[in-house]
Amino acid sequence: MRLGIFAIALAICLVLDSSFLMALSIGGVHPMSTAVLMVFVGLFAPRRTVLWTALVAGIFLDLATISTYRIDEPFFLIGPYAMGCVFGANLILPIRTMVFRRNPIAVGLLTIPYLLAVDVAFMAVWTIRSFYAETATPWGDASAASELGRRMGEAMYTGGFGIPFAWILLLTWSSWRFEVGSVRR
Amino acid sequence: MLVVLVLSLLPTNWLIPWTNRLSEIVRLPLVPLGDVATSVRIWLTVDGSDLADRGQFDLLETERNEYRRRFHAANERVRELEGLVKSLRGLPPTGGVGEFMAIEVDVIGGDPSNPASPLRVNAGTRRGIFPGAVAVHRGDTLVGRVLADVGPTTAWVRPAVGFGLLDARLVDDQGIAADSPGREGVPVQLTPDNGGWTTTVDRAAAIEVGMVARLHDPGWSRFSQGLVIGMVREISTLESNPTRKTVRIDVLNDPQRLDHFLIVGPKSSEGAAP
Repeated sequence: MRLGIFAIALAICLVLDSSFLMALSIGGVHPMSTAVLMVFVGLFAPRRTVLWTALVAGIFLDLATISTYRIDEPFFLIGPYAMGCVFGANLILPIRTMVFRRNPIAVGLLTIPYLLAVDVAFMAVWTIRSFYAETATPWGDASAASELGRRMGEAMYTGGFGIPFAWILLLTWSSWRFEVGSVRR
Repeated sequence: MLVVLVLSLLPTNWLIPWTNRLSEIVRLPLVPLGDVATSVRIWLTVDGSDLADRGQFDLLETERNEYRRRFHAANERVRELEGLVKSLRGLPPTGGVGEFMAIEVDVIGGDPSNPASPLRVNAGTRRGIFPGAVAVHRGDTLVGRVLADVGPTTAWVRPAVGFGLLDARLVDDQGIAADSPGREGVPVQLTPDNGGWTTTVDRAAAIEVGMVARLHDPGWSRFSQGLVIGMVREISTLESNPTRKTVRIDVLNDPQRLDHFLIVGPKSSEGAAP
């Protein structure tokens, strides 16, 4: 896999997630293009590369997700998304041999369990921190169950958004130079 | 992976000094893209509150005629004041607010799903932005305040609605200076509520829908005092105490829908506000 292409795609997805895709927000839920990209990479790249890219993308997501400490101090926690992305990648790796990888619908639908795995790890880390750290959880006064429900909606929305987005990614498939022997089409 | 796990569980105080810098460095190359993407997003989206029904159209027409009348009256007043200014020119400046800086910034990130979520702007300490400076929209509307730990090229602005309780005054804003005699307004303490604020006042208080809330909070910079933070949208009797009434105040401009505004604060030589 060409890492340069991945870096460019990741940069574009991070910008889309933090600004442009808010335009598609429905009821406070918006799709997450980085998750679709990670599933796309997870389907084609070697296992080791998938895990490293998931970790890097997760760290970048963590560094783009602001929390506040003592009301007015910005704070970035490295870990929730990083571990979530690696956890999600470990979920995708065993499944990828069973699906038609070059099909955008497969990429879109796999994004749903991937993002749920990311969200579970994300919320687990913040919940553990809430027992001892002074930082408020990202979901504030709302309950963890309602936040999980919101994130499930986000995962499903991203799954639907992921189909056309994956189609665009698949158009660039040859530029990525994935080393795949016998990919199911 | 183990390192990330340990990092995610470290006390916040150990992380703040370096994760903010790291985020700043990592996000730096994405600032121009974020600026463009935010502008495109705002251009593409329609604010649902902009859509009006027949009754609101009639009201808008009435208001248009009223403001047209006031515009002509204001023009007359401007001519009168211009004559006054000519006579006052040459007097030494009073220096009431001291030296200040005003920097126009573009929003490069935010979370429209949460009205209190901080906004990232494309200016930092290199352009003279310091913690505590206030963000102002169209000269008279308070957007929020710059959070601590400003980076060299970017800063975070938290909307006023995200700062908990605020002291303000409800005034009938007729374009007349708020500090004119008899126009002090009704002092209230605003509690954040669902993207706006609520407060309770005595039933006898002269408050009407359409009055504006102006900040009078000693916890904020002197540059933010008197700026508009919201407008009275709803007044209802408090069920638990009929001698009081509940007032609902909504933000005048949704901060999450702004793509640029001014940051105003003291010049660096005066130090950080407030």
